[in-house]
Amino acid sequence: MTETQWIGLSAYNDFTQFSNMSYNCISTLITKSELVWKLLRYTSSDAWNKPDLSIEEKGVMIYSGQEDSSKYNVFMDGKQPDVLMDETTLLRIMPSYAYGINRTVGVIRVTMEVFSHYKINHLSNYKTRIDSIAQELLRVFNGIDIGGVGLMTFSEMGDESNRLFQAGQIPFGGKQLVFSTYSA
Amino acid sequence: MLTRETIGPVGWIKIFLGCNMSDYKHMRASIRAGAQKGSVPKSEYVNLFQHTLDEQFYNASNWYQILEETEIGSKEYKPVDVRISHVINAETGLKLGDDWKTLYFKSTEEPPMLGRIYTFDDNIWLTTNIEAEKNLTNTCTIRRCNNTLRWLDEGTGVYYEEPCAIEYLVKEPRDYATQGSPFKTPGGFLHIEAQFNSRTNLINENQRFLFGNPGHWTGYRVLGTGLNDFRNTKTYDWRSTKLLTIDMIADFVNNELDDIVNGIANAGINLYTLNIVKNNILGNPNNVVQMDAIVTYNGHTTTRNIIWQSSDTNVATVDSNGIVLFKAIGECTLIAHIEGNPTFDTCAVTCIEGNDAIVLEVKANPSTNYILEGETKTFNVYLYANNIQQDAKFEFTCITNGVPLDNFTFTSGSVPGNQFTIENKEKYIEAPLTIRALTDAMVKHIDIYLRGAWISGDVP
Repeated sequence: MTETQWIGLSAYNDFTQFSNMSYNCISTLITKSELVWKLLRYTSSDAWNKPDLSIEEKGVMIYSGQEDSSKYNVFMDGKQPDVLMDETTLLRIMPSYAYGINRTVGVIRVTMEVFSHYKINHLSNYKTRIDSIAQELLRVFNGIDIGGVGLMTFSEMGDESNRLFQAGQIPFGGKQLVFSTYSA
Repeated sequence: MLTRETIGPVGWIKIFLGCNMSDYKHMRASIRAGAQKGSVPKSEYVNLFQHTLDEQFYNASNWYQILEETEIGSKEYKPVDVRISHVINAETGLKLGDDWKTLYFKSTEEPPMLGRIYTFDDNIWLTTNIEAEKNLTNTCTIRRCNNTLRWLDEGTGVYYEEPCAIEYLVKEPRDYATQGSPFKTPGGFLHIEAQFNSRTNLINENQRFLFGNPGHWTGYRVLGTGLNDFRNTKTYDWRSTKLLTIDMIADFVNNELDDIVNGIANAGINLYTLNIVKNNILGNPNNVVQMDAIVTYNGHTTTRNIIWQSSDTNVATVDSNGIVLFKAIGECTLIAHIEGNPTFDTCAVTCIEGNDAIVLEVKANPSTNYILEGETKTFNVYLYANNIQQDAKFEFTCITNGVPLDNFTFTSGSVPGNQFTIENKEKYIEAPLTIRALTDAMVKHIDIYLRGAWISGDVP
């Protein structure tokens, strides 16, 4: 009996980085932005003007499977079942959609959602908390290497889904951003 | 001639009782009550009852002396003897517990009043029902206040705490997760009773309160239709309302801006500072000095009523406008605070002999510490000696503190003078400009903020 080799087996896309997307984005955010973390941590209108947080302080804001998710600000998924009792701000970063262009190259869409309680959304610098964070996310992640093939982008040239739009519902309004990157 | 009693405005209604009746307004109360019908010796019965009450009132085990509020909202109390008994729920026939009591009063002359507060056994009690109208005895139902409403007035920063009675159960407690909502949010309603007075009349719709304890506060917000302050005890007189009911819905806690030690919502939002311009003043007897104090609300200068006091009026007095009169040799302290607000500042006062006491002071006019975007403001700066304007000229220097040069223009003239002008071309939030005003006698630093087109976070 003759065994036939599977020609081109290694050329199929295994989306190696798919499950790393959330981590890669959040770890990037830790080093690339101070403003986002201050706006997530402090609820006062001058949160933007507070001292920068240490890496440890940023770390305790990230949910990692504890009993009560409502005590945290940053999540790697979009499904929190625990009731929110505080006026708070939350950021959720997750790969939300993927498809293959061909057998070797695919696209991963990364969704970033920021929600803020409406009472703390307005800041003393004539900006809103949600828009400030959304802008900072655009600044940090548009055109950055987070482990895909090439750079993550916020451009219809990369994927037609890339956009920013309103999200949430009173009392937690928000913005949702969709980035994309190629995967192979 | 019959005495006529006015019981309401003239209306369209006329009442006919087979006699020549006047308008409703002039209907005699005696006819309404039927008191004049027949020849019943009403007053004798009443007097006899009162006499019996006087004799028998203390012949019981359930009489007590408790404290009764003298006037609604006064928070002043006087002792009153009452009999205290249980309350029966009319719907169930069951005795209500210790949260409800009936008071029987000794006198038939002084009727109880809805909303009146009583205090005994370490509790505040609120009158929620009375039975006195055309009744031989005076009784009322009181309810134990099981919590307090605590809040800071946004406009003045004044702290209020009012006793209230919260219903036992949270109605419809649930976590809401509606379609489209990214998170579950709290639900549930509280029904609260409190005395309606000048303080609780400040409570507004959407106002948030905290209930619980320092380890666990729960936020509740007044519903849009949650304030019932319109149950008049006299039909045409809205001033006669004495009881306030408040309905609230579950809301949120802000761990940074709420006072989560004392349970006061938004305590960190209304931040006031007060600074007496002079740290100390020196004068001779009969000298007069004008004091000034600067109030800031959330960082920007504002205007509030200031209360001035002297610790020793034998040394110096101060009037309500801050004018100090030195009276006799000695030392004392001036205290200024925002009316009703605990924020205060002090100034040391020294009265000495002779005529050599000179108090120097630099004043800038206007005293506001900001310029709105697009606005140009000129400041006049003068030196005062014993409150008299001097001819001294100043050399002004602008310290930018990192404010970009493109954001403003600063002009003060090439020679020393008394004016400088700043144009706010573009707001800069991070730091103020500091203007250094230097004269031979002294130096003063004046901080000016380049704000946006409006003051962010101001009180309307």
